[in-house]
Amino acid sequence: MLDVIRSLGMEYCAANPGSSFRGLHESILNHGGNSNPELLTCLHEESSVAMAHGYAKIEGKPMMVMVHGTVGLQHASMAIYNAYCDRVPVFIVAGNILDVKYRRGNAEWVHSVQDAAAMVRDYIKWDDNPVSLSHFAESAVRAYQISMTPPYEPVLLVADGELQEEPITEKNLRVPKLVMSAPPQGDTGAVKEAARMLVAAENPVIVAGRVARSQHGIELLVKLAELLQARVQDQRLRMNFPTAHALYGNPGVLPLNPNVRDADVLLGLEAQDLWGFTHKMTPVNRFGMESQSVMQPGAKIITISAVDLNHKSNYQDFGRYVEADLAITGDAEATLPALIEEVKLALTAGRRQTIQDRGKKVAEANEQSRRRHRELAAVAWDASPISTARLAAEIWAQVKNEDWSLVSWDRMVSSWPTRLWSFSKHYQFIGTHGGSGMGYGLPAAVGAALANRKHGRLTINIQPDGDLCYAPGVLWTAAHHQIPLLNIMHNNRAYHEERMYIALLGAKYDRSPEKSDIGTALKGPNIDYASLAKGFGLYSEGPIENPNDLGPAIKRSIERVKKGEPVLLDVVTQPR
Amino acid sequence: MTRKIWVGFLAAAGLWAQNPKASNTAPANVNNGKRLFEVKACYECHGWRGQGGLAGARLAQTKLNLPAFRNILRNPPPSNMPPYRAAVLTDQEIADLFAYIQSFPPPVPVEKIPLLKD
Repeated sequence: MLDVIRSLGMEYCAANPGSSFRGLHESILNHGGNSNPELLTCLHEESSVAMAHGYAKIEGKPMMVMVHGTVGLQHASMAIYNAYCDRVPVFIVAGNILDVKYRRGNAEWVHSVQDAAAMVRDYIKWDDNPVSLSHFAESAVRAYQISMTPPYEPVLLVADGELQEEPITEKNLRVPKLVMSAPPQGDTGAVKEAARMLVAAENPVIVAGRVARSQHGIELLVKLAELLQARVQDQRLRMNFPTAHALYGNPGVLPLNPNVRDADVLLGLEAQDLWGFTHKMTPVNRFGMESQSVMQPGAKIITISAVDLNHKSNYQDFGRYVEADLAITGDAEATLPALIEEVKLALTAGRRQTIQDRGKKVAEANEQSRRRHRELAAVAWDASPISTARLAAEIWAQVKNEDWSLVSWDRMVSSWPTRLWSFSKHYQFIGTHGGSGMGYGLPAAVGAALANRKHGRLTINIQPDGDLCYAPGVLWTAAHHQIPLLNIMHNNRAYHEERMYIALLGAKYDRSPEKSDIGTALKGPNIDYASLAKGFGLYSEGPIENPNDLGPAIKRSIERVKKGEPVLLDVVTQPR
Repeated sequence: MTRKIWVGFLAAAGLWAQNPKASNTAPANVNNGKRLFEVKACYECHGWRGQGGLAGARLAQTKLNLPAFRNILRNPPPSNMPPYRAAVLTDQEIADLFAYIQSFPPPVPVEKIPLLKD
């Protein structure tokens, strides 16, 4: 089993130990020399999977995760759902003892299951329950291939206890050759039609979801946008487009779709919830919601996405039906080269001039927008709790000359990093949790930092307090495995999104919002995150409440991180 | 952007009161406004200094006058914010809140903040 797994190039295996996979565990240590994969000691299965989630978005390939087929998979399930919604590959091996005569005592009965993958089958791409070693070998290679064919998704393989531990009796065992599938490309005729529509458009807008998997993907999107001089409205689910580029859509403003309303042709590339992006709804009145399109009459929508190849029924991550004028099933990054060539062919000299004039206007508007962001960042600059704009600016001042990687979502801090920093490399931003399952942030950051370690990158995680509290034990995993990571808390002492909802609903019903702290605030007592981190073996400072103390603390922390340590700074911040 | 929409909304509705009619409120109480800013959860979306963010508009250095401010609370434009009717905020409380918001210190000019220079 391990020889097959090693053939897939697994660098790491994240696991919280479990007896149902002890055979593989022992093999990794002694047969494999604890190398490729190296075992990562995790304190919760949710952390194991979320670490693999963050790792894959930096490294571009799956990490192996081992879990009990029952209770371990139950712990892991939310993190698997996040990875599924975020289209991220994770290679999960679940231990199980299928044959009753091999089960020793009650623990192995309650940890055995007839169909281990059943509980997560709605949100993995493929699974198998091999009954022989040759079956395991073939299914392991197949699982890897399926996981890494767009849309990327988690896969699960059951490792039966009998196969793991009993003497090998099968003959002619071999490791099948891994063949990676070429990603699916959009239909040639449809791509040609898309190019024609885009070139003819007066104001095309590109909505980028999970487009770029690599630097090459970013470069392709830049090429397309520049050919069309089209604004790119980035959903910030991946590092799709350089944020300082003149065609970068205006981030961090409300409503979220300011540029969509002006588009006459909108191109959605692996876009998430494109319907929601093109419609406005009555936000507080969540039930019986009214909605209407924000696009101008006659505007056209083109979609390119591989997600259409893997829709499931139960979980509703597919979003509302988009009435596209041209829907192309295919991986966006793989389709971009053909689309770029078709756009070049469709461009006439007359259209080129019109397009260049359009680009100048977009660039001017963007420059104004950037100036405006800096003016807004100055408001409450000296406030305590520390403003999220100040937090972002202080971090940027310390990291901008480093080879850095921000591995946390930034909407919780009002997108200030996106608004103030300059992102250009594919590893500088990895999007978000996918399924909005809280508890993703810290372990995903540790996994991403692990992937960044061998490249010598400085990894930064702006860590919300509520998210950290789900499974903080991953701090110990980072310390134990010497994973360099700068954690800077966005400590607003609340599950703040929910606190806002409660306050707003109270006001809606003519009830005072005064009780919105109940059930949402994390104070009384305040949680001492610096002490918590110290207890797990990290260097830590805080709580930092004076904004003037922040810069020096970040500087001290970076020195520690550069020596290979994880660090945590507890910063008490404004709510958003 | 949000503020622009609000301003446009108010202008269209003719609500920019150049000569605001005197209301039946006592002189504004800044300290009570500060208390209300917390207990009525204004800070949750608008920030403790009214600096705004993705969740709420900037309130600091607002160009609105009191009647316009009150009208937005009573009849907010399409946004996440629900109407704050008299059962939740009286006219007097709105006046106190407005006085507190007006007391926010002006921001340091961007050019005097080295970290915000290009």
